[in-house]
Amino acid sequence: MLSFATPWVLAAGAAASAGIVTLHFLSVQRPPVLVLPTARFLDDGATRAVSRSAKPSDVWLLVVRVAALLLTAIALAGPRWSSGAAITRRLVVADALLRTDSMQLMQSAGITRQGEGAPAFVWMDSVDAQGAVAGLRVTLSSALPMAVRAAAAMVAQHPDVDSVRLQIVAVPGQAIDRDGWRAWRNAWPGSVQVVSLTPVGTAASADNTLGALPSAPRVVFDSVGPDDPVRAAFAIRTVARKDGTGIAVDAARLVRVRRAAGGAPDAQTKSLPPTAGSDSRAEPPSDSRATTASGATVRNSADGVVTIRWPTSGAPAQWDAIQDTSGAIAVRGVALPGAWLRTARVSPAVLRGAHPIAWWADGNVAALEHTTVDGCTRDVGLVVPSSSELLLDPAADALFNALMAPCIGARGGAATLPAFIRDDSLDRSRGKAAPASAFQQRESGSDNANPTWLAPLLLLVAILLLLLEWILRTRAERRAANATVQDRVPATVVRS
Amino acid sequence: VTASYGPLLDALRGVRWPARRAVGAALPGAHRSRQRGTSGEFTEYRLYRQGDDPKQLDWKLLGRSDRAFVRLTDDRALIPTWFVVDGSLSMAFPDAQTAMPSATPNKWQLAKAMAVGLGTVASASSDPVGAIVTSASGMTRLAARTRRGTIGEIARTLDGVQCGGSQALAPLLTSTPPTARVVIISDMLGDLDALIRTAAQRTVAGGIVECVHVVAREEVSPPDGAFLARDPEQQDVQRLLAPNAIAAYRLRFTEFRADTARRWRAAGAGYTEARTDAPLPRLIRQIVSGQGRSDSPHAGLG
Repeated sequence: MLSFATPWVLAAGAAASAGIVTLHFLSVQRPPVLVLPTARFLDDGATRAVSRSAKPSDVWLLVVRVAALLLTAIALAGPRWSSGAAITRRLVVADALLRTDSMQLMQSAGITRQGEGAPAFVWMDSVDAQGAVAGLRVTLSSALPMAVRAAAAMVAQHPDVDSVRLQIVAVPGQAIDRDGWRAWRNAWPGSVQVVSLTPVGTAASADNTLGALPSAPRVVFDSVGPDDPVRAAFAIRTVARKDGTGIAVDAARLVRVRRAAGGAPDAQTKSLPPTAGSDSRAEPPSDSRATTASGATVRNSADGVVTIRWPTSGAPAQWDAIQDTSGAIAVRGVALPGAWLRTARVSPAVLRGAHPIAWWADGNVAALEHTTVDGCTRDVGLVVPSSSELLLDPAADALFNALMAPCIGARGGAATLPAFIRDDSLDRSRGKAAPASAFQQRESGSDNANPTWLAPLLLLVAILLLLLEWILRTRAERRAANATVQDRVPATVVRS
Repeated sequence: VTASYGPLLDALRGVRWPARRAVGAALPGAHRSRQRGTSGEFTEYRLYRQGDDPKQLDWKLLGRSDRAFVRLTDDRALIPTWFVVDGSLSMAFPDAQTAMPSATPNKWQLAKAMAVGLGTVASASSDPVGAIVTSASGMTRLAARTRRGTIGEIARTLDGVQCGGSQALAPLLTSTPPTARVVIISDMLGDLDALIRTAAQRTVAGGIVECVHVVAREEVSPPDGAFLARDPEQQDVQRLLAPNAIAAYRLRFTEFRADTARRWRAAGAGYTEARTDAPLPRLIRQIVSGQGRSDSPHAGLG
């Protein structure tokens, strides 16, 4: 299939060809020359007249001219030849925080279509931003050149790609810069598909409890001694906010911290079964209730209680007990270096349907969240000795902010997307992926033309046609100059 | 003479071409001379004056009237006839190159035939006949002679001429003897003013000038349709010949021919318009009979 890098050049050539055809229909009629010695007795007026004709004049000249022009336009339009059907590849722009669970991300983004191959990812690093969840500003325009370059690299690497589909995975709760979004829409030559992570039943988000909390929740400790280091760590991060300088405690939000020995089951919480296969792009229900795949009506976790199960020793329930150490814990992109004692390892069965919150240095999950009927439960596979001061370090703020953040189900969904995003990408989506030729043009011009010899060959043929046009035109002019009455008037016309 | 002129010469057998006026002193010939001579044709009596030849006395009249008269007779003389033939490019109309098909001879063919026919008529009166021909290669001059073969030589010369150029005819007119009879055969599309002026000077000096204005039928009636008419001698003259312009063209061309005839006759020259579709022997007879003269009753009917 023949495609063009700059189709507008071809369109311009076609328009010019139409103009030439029109001119041939409106050609200037020059009457045949009659040698008349007494021509001086004729009126000295115009010797040419423009008239319309039913048939084009100089058909061969017209054909050669149009052919030369079209070939030149095709050559300049950057022709590409692909033997198969149109190939569309996908380019996904997502927050770097989501890269830890790329499989879930791809499932959430709906990257299951056949024929589009492995998508290319452009990661936005929003971790550096400091602020509240709702106030975090991720400038999409910063990812624009990255996405364009990635698309160009993709096209260069896969010359058979015909179009590039851009998909943006929006993290619920993120504030998106309006101007940056406009830049996206104006610069990207195709449609933009925005999908929002749907956390219910899908382990889509690794950690969406981003940034400092706008208000501290009310923390309740169960079976926690007064000298417990975890209680102290929670206390300094909530009491400090009561001095009037920080954010006041939000009594409506409850965080329950349970400290017990490892392996003890918790009968007060009940996890929801995972709902694998749900479409993350689907609109969430507008009300505060959702229907699970099993048909049970559950309470939305937006108003739920966050229960933190942090064993004092051993491993959380259903976790595998191990004896190991780790040099750091990563939470929300912030590393907490230290001599951490690692006594548990999350099992795949537990990880399924859960949302990781913290990771060990080797990438294993150190804390995760389960959605429950009345909120969520967060298991922390981190054992802190009573004498440890690691949790009192300011660097651990990220960990506690993540633990005290509202449940993941409380946020997300396309309904949280700004209206201007929905208007520009969802409602006004043209449904057409960006042509790969657009990135060829930007990246390396016609170097990616496939085959590369086609454009020079077309130009050569066009030049030959122009030479032929010159010959035909010269002959036509000579013939017109020597045009005689015999060409137009039979002998009988001459009056006797 | 070229065989193609045979029918024309047969049609002109017996035709004579007397001079329009008495010629000057010259060898004895057929034309009336301004000189008084000893010819047998009586003209008038005149009283004898001292010094007259007594042989011219009319003795019988002296005996009857007792008065001495002498017999006067007009002399007869030859008159050289020169043909100035215009071989410019405009005379080659119409022909294959100008590409206007025509069943009639073109202007050059008519001019050739006119020169040969008139030359033959002049030669029949034992007049010397010469020719000056302009052509693409320049000018060819054939001296006036009375010997046999002169007309043939002129015919061969004319047949070998390739029309071209636009050489002026007036200078050629001055190269002929002042008392000669000069026949100008042209389409009058060249140096007409200078030519008429020179001809007027010759007629005043006693010369005889005959103008044969060659006009093609296609010039009088151009073909229908729209054409870009181009003057063969002036390439920059290109005019649109359209059906709506033919009427004005005819009017101007008619006025031009009438004005040309008037000017030639006013200059004392004879004028005859020779159209290519007219019978050639008739044209020649018209010329030799003096119908083109200003004092002729047929003047202005060309």
